[in-house]
Amino acid sequence: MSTLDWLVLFGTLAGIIAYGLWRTRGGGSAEYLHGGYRDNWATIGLSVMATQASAITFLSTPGQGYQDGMGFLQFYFGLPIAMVVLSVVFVPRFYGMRVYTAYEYLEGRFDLKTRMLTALLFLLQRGLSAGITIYAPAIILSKVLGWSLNLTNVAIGGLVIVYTVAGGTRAVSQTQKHQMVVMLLGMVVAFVAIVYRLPPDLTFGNAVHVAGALGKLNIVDASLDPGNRYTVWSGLTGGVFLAMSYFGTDQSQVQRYLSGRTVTESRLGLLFNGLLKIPMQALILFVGVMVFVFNQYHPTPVFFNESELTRLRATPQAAELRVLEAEHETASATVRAQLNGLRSVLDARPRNAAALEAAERRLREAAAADDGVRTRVKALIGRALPRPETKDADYIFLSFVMANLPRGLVGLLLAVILCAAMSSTASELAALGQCTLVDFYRRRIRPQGSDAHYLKMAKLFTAGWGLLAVVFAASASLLDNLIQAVNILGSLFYGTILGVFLVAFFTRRVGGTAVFIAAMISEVIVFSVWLGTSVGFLWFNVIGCAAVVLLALSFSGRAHPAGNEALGRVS
Amino acid sequence: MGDETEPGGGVTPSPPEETGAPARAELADAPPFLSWRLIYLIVLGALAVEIAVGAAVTSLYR
Repeated sequence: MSTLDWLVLFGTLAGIIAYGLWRTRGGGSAEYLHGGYRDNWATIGLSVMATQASAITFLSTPGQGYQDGMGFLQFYFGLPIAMVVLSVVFVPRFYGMRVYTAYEYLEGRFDLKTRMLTALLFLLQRGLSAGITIYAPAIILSKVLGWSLNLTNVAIGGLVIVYTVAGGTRAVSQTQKHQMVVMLLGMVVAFVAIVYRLPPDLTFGNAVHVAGALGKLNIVDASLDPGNRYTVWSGLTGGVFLAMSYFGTDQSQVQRYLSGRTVTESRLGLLFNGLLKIPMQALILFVGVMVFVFNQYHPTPVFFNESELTRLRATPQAAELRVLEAEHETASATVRAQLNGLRSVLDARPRNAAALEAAERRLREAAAADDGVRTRVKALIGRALPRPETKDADYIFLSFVMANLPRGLVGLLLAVILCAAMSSTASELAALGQCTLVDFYRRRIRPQGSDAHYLKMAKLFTAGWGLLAVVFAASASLLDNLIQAVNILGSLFYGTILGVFLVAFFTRRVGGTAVFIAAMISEVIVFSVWLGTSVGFLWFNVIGCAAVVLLALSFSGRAHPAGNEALGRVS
Repeated sequence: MGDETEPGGGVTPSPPEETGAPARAELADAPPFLSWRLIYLIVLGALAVEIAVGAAVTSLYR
């Protein structure tokens, strides 16, 4: 990286953090925990988006666009619907009881044990995933930049801990607002730079046509085939459910919009997210598609994770790799020849429909042959290496940035990725510290402390969770399939928590004991499904939620309706 | 706020007049020139347009 890149990278990161700390200096524990209820809708919306957008969003999503096209966009189709439901149902209820945490609401509606149970489940899953939020980008950045993995973990985690502990939730909101602007601006600039770098005789329209001909613009899949992971139907059903679980019951998000000046600002912030999220994801995926088009005209490695190729070259299978690399070179040259043929047909006036169809078919066949070589390389890596990493999608975008973008822009794009890593981690740490203080320490251990004491303890808890996340990130490489393990862990609890909230919001006769027992049984059911069947883990969310709602309703006639009188306080 | 004592461990946080938190306009608060129904329609309408554009692009290049 050039000096200019380093200056842009550190200038952007340090500037945002310093500004956030300067804007949020001073204040007591309430200010620290909810930011003094000062945020407007734009800050809330950008903060909610920045919390969801982790570094993996900017590393993996372009890679997903590159390899599988735009179909992943359907995953977000449920989000705007969920934002409307949250605005109508969740936000007014949280505001009506003036809670700091979502779980606090459950004590007013049900009882203490239900609050403790859901808060504990949140701490468990979010505490683990905070480590992954640091580790996942660190492993990619360290490989591409040649940095030490542990140093990268400590650098990302350390910076986040400093400003989250110092400034609390308001510092998180203020920094996230600017981080999100840098992320959006960075992706727009990257898109323009990539289009500018396309071959001079390839018009933008023809580049889009090439992407379409190679199947990268299949955005909407209306098929009912359950084997297709992303369809418009799964997006509009499962997507709503997942977005409601995440934005409605995960304190790292609830904290973002409960810091609003009024309930209106919070609602508008969520709806702003509902409006902007799909276009933003479309842009990121389309950046990946344009990188794909760019790479069709330029030599590319047969596998984008260079460190795995280096490892493979040191094994007896190195000769096999060389053969495959030569095959890839030949196949790529054939693809380029077919692209030139397609371009001639596209430029001809009038266009010959039959010739166009034939040129597209030949291009698809050539691209499929090249894909076949890449698949064989992945299989070779899987066979030859211990603990192999056979997916390279996460490395595609960063490899392109490092090799092809001009000086200064490389630093800006790295700033985008680090901003994303820090913004999502900061929300997690702030929420973990807040939940520990409000739902456990202040509620059960020391109910009558001074404001200064609570402020000190909030900082201590936040720092503690941050250190735990860094330690977990540093040891994460010792475990296989860690990201999947954490995703499964989250799905084991998310459905149950959402079910408890749905019962709280939509029923009046169900009491605390009934919902608590229902939640415990639903956890047993979810764990039984996980251990005893091959049902995909995303379905655990649906099963857990449905079990809580149905069981709580069936128990409600027998259990004492404790806490229902509190409903009178809910608007 | 300094060392000001804040009541802590109740079932729910105290109302703002007790905690010193600023008063907050509540549930009937709607943004100027718009109703909530219209805002929700804009968000859901934008989703419908996005899906329609996505379907059109997909069919164009399929």
